[in-house]
Amino acid sequence: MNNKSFISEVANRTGMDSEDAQMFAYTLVDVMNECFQKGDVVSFSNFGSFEVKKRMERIMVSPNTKKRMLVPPKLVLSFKPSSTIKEKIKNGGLQ
Amino acid sequence: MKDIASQLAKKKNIRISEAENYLDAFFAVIHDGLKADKLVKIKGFGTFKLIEVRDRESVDVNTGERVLIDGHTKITFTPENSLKEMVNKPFSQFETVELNDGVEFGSMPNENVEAENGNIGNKDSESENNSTVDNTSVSGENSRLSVDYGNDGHCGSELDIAKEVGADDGIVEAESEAATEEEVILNNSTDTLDSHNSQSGNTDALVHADNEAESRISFKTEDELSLVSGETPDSESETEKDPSDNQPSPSALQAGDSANVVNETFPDSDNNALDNKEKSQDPFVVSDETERRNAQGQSQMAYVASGIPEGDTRKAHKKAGNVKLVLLSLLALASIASAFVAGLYLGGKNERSVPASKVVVVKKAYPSKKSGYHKAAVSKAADTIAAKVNIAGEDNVEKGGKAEIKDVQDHISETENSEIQSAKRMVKTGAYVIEGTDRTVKVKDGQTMKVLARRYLGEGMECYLQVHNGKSEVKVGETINIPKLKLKKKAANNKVS
Repeated sequence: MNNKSFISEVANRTGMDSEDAQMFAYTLVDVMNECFQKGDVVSFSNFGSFEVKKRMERIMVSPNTKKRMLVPPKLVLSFKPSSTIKEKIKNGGLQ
Repeated sequence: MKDIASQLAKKKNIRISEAENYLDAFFAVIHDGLKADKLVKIKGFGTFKLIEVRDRESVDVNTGERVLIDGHTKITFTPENSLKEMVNKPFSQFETVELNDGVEFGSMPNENVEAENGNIGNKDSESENNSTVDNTSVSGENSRLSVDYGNDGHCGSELDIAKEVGADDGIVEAESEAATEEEVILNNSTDTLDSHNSQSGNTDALVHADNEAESRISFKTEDELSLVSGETPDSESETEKDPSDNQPSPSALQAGDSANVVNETFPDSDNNALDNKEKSQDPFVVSDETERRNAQGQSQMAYVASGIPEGDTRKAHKKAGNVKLVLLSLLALASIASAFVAGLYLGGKNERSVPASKVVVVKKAYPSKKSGYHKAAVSKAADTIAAKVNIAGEDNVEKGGKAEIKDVQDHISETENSEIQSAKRMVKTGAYVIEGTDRTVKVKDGQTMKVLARRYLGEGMECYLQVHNGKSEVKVGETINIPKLKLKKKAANNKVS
C-alpha cells in the first residue's frame, strides 16, 4: 500500500480531503519528533510504541576498502508492536 | 495516545475528539493495509512491513533443552531518512572514520538504553550518558571517562526512568523558583550574618551565598543526577539528593556562613562572584566560564574551610570537566605512543632491523643525540669531543677528551660489533649458507651495504654481505666481496612446509 492509497483511505474514513489528511500526517510526525527530542517513548494503544534507542559505536571492516572503520554511536528509532495488534495479525490469516 | 492527540489538536486548531478520530483511523488503516498488502508506506514517516519468520531451533535457557521457536509474522517499522536524521540530531556531527592500526577497543560497559529528557538539546553525549547511567545504577555513581554506551538491551526500568523524569522535572522547576528564592536567600543571609560581620564582610557573604546558590543551580543543569546521587555524606548533598526539596536556603545559609569565614583572605573571588551575580539573573544561562570561575573562587575556600559543601559541587563539576580532559589526554597519549613506536620501527628498519634495544643503548649513551642513524650520532659526538679537545688544549681536558674519544671509538666498534653479531645471528638462522666469494665489487658513489646486497643478493640479504666482509657499513671506493649463497635444503623445506 503506497502513500497515496494510504492517505486516501484515511481521508475516506475521517471525511476529510486527501490534502488535509496528508498535512495531518506530517503534523503527527512533527509532534512525535518533539517527543523524541525529549527522549520520551511515544505509544499508541492497541498499536504499539516508538522509542529512541542508542546504538553503541562499533568497529567494522569496510567491504570496499578492507579497512577497519569506526562507526560512531547513534540514536535510532525503534518500533514495538503491542500484543493486540500482534494477535490480530496472527489471526488475520495471511496468505 | 491522549497526549499526542491533544498536541495534534493544538497544532491544527481542531477539537481533541477530531484529532483522536484521525489517529484511530490512521492506525486502523495501517493495520488493514498490512493485512492486505503486508506493506504500508507513509510519506514523511516510514514503512511498516510484515515479515515472515521461519521456525527456529534454539536452546531453552533454563533447562538447556532444545526448543523450537515457531515461525511467526512480525511487524517491522523502518523510519524514513528525514525522521532518522531528526532523531539522531544530538549525534549528527559524528562520522564513520577509518581506524588506524594499534588502536584497540576494550569491551564497552553497557548503558541503560533510554535517552533522558530535558538535557539532550544543550548537552553532549557525555553528560547524557552520565545521567542515563544513573537511571539504573542504584548507587548512582558518576560515569567516568568511559563513555557508557547503550545496546539493544531493554532498559526494563521504565519506572526508574519515570521517576528520574519526575525528578528532572522537579529540579527544573526548582531552578525557576530558585531564581526568586535567591533574593530570599540573600535577604536571609544578610539578616543572619549581620551580627557577625562588618559591612564589607556582608557583601562578600551575600555574593558568596549567591555564588553558591547559582553555582549549585548551574551544576544542576549540567550534572543534575551526578549531584543528586552525590558522593559525600554532607548535609548539603543530602539536601540536593532529595529532588523534591525546593529549598536551597538552609544550605545556602550554611555556605554563606562558611564562605564568611574565608572571604577576607580571597579578595579575588569577589570579582568573579560579582560577574557571576550579573549572570545570575538567568539561572538557565550557564556558561562554562561561569562554572569555572565558580569552581576557582570556591576551590580556594574549599581548601581552607573544612567540610565545606562547595567541595562537592567543585568535585562534581570537575569530574565532568575532568572526564573530557582525561579522554583528550588519553587520545593524545595514544597517538604519541603509536607515533613513537612507528618511529622506532622505521628507524630500526633503516639500520637493517637492528633490534630496538640496540637503538636504546645508543640513545642512553648519548641522550642528547636523537638521530635514527646512530652511527652518525656517535661520530657527531666524537667530532664535538675532538673539537672540545682542540679548543681547550689543556692537559686535563686533553686527557679527558682522549679518554672520551677512546670511549667513543670503543663504542663505535662496540656498536659495529653488535651489528655484526646480529647479522651473524641472522645468517645462522637464515635459509642460505655462504660458500665463498662469488665476486668482488667496488663500492660506487651513493651505494650502501643495503643497496649492494639488494642488487647482488636480493632484498633483506644484507646480513650475508656484512658477515662475509666482517663489517656492517661500506665506504665509497672500498672493495666488497659478494658471497656465494647456497640454499640450506632442510631449512628451506621447513619453510615451505
